[in-house]
Amino acid sequence: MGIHFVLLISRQGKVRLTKWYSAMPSKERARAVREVSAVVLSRQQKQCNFLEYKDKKIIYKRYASLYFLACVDEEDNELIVLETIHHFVEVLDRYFGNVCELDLIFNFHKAYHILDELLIAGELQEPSKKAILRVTAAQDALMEGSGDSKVSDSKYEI
Amino acid sequence: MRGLTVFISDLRNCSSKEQEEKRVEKEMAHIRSKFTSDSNMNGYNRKKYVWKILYMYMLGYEVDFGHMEAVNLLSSQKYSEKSVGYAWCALMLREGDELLRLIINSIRVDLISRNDNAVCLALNSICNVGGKEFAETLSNDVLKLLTHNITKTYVRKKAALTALRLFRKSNDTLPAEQWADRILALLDEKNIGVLTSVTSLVLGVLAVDSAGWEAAAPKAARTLTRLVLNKDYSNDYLYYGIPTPWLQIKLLKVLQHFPPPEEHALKLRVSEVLQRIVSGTEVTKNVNKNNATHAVLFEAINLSIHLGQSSETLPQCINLLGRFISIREANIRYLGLDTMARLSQEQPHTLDDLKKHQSTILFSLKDPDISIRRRALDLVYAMCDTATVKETVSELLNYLDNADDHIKEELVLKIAILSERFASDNSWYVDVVLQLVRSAGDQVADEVWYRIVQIVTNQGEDLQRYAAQGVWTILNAEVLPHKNLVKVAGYVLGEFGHTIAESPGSSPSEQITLLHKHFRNADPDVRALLLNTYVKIAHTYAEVAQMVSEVMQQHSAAMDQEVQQRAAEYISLSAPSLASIKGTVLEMMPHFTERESIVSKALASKSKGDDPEAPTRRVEPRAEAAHAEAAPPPPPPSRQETPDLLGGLADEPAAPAPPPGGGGGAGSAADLLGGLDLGGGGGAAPPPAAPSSGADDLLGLMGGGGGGAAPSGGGGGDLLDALGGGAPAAPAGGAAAGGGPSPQWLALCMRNDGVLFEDATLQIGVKMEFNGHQGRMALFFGNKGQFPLQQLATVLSPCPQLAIQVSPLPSTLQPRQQLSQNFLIECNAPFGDGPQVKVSFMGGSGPAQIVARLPLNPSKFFAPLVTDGGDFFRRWKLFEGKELQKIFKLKTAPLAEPEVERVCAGGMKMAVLRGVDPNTANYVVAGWMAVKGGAPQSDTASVLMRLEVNAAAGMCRASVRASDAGLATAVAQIVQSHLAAP
Repeated sequence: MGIHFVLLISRQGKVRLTKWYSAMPSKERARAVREVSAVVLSRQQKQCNFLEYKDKKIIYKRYASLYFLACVDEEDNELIVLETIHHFVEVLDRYFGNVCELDLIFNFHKAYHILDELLIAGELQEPSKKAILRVTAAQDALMEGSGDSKVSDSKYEI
Repeated sequence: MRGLTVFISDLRNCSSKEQEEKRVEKEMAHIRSKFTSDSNMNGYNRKKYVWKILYMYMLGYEVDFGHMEAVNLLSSQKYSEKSVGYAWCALMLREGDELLRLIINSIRVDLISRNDNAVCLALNSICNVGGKEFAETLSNDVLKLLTHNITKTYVRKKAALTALRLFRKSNDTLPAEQWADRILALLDEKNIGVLTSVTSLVLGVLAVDSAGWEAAAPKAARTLTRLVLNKDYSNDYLYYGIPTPWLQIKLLKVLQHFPPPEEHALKLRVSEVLQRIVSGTEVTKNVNKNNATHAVLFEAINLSIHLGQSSETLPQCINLLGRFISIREANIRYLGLDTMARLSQEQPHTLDDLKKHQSTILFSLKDPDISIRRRALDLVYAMCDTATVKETVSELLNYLDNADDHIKEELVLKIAILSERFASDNSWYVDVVLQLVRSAGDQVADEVWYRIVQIVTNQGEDLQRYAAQGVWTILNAEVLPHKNLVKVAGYVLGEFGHTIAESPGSSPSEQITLLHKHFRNADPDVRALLLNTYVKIAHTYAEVAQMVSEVMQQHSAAMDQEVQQRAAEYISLSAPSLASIKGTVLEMMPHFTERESIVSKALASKSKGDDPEAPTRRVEPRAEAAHAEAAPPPPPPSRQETPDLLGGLADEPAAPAPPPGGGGGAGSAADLLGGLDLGGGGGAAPPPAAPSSGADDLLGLMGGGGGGAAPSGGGGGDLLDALGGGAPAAPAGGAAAGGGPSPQWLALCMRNDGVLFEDATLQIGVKMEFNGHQGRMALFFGNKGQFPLQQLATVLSPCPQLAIQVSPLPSTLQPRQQLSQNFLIECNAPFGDGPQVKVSFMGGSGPAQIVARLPLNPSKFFAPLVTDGGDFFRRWKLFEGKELQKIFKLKTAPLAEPEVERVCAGGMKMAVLRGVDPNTANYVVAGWMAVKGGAPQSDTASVLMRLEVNAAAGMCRASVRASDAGLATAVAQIVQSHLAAP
């Protein structure tokens, strides 16, 4: 059924974002995060980006200090899920301009908004980066229109 | 938002967890006080605090306030506030949450508003949270948005995926006759975003049932032509130069849900697209481009495999796969192995081509990456057949020595299965398994050695002698044998030690001496087994009787209960008065009934395990025919067990695999003597402690009374006869799609046999039997049509409160034939809705699916609770607040006692208590639910019901109280549906 959950974890194993697309009790969620992070963090760079987890598969990729993970069913197309992750990263990168981990920490709410424009119900909603950025920009304008400003003083280098 | 940024920085600057906790506590207290004191809080502050709460929640802190603020934000008029409210819902709420009821109306208001932004927020949140409530309340509005022609594209694509989410929750939201045309019409849409989302929705529907949606295939093919051949798309949708790979893949998947196309134009179209993808894909330097092209390529290969011999591209695909498995790029190697395994399963005729790559595949077993090793092992396993088994197994045995523990257990199971399934001679199989037991020790699951014992027992004396010699040699060679090796040796020598007793060096006393050398350091379970061995040898060879009796004496006061009990029983058994019985008890074990290999079962159950490292097994072992020729012959009829010896439900619970014979596990010694009482009179065979769960005996048991329930194949007799007759007439198609309870299901609430489903092709009958918290159920599948049903399979929806063991089901059902599948059920906790069964098969008109609720409603585990008014109301009070009421119009008023007796006592196994309610028009009913480990008739197990009748109005109020809300609901529903006017 497409993606069951998306998870962003730092190299130290800190969770930066989680998004669940299938119903799962909190305990199981916590367990899945723990188990999956442990395995992914222990893998070497040259190894493949897939691993089997229970009757599901984890597709993951590391970008600088962050690991992006997606959990999918066995019959899903692994490589395209990998590119869905990359698609997300590219959109984040365009949006923040050279995105880094701190952008996602201080603007976690933006990251969630963007993800909602990319994936819902565990399925890709929009394959065009342009279309996504257009919608996100419109949302930001709406936010600012009601007395809000985009956080821009939070750029740090890691 | 400055306050939020400062707060996040503060937390990041904390040097210790304690400091962070302090800071969080301070902030929570602050926000809490703001929320309670400042009733006129402005939107900005409310937003800021909610974001802070969400951040703390993300860090793992419990948050138990702020709900109302978030709900207020959600219904705000300002977009910025509304969107924060929705973000809160997305993170904090999940289906089933009480709070959902509170917000469902606000969501609906947004959903039908004219503001597209609000509509999108509402759609996102329905998608994120899902849930039954949403599906029931909102699905019409969502579908309206999806199909209405004024909907904007960016709303429409969200609506499509929201509809998908709701459909997954309740499959009856999109009946084909009503929706197929309208939704498939959207596949002609130009906008690729909408097309992608709608294709996802269609795929979701096809995964459940493709009937009525056939028009999806030509449309998918047309769009593929447009993208792949005609290059007709907007440049926004090029991803690294590839036209929207996501959509291409989804369309290729749509085609895999239908049988190979027959219509010429469609066939041609699909073949052109495949040809272009398969021959036009090249390896490029850019990683992302490479991934995207290969993602499409692998999906095209999957489609070619699905089309099989009718696909012209299949040979090319095979070549490509051969190349992929030796490529450097790990992802492609992984997928190459994975896809090859699929190919070998679905298109066995390609096996010879695949075998050319055997050495590369075996080499992949040594890959440094565990993911790849697993795929390679799966593939080796899938490709093995009679011709290659010796080579494969010897490679795997080699590999076993160096394999890491993560994979070893699975490897052992697979070696055991292959060597059994494809062995040309059984002595080779014995060699392999003994080698496994010897060298893999801890990783050898018990099932592996149970199985060899079964096979050796069922074969002639030659193999028995061979096995005895084998264990004897190995046991002599090992200084510190693994306990499993001692167990096999003990068992085999106990049964067949006599076959080598004449050979020099292995006389009975030498056998016992050698075994006893390992006795002292052995675990209690091994010791218990060895006592069996000794007493069996001593029974045949009087010269060791003295020696054995000393051992028994020594251990008649052993610390371990099992060892002590066996020793004591064997001492008593040697009393002269029991001489005749002794002979029966210690006779050789009878043949085992041939059933599904317990080793295969172990492998299957392993893949469902909780261990994160546990392998997933997706390939099935191949070649059933080869299995049959290698399997031991069925036991001679004279040895067949009588059903009553197999024990009722109570004494053979769903234990995964009791050890064969009297060997091994606790309690079997007791069985040995217990069985004696049963069989002693007629001098029957010793109690055959059957080596599988006993599920298979269902037929025997039920057939005894019901007139030949065993479907003996062919015959073409009336299907209903086999069910014992008397089933209610079933309107065709009634139970399909798993909607509300079907009449068949309702009838089965009251009785334990009948028809669950019936249409023109298939009839599903049920027989059930329950005892306490355990039950057995058999489903009988009857093919009423002209064509064989292929790929017949059943899947149960999860029901965590029930442990269900399912027996295998042959995959082909011939016309006019009947097959059965057995289920062993254990109730572990109170529950409301039992599982559903999905039956899928390939019939004369293509793939089909039936979903029906199994008649495993909670009352099957009920027993009457006969008690007085005082106790009833004491229990009633205990469940204060856990009441469920149904008010309905009665079929007949006043409510007659026989009717209540029929439904509540006869059907639901509860007790109708008289004199508890002074009003004689009313009824008080009590039962208790048996769950595993629960005390009988305990307070918590009670299920209590009061039926209050207003005879004048013809109305009845049923109030049910029980520990579990779902349980109370289910009981109330059953009562209502049987007493209420239709």
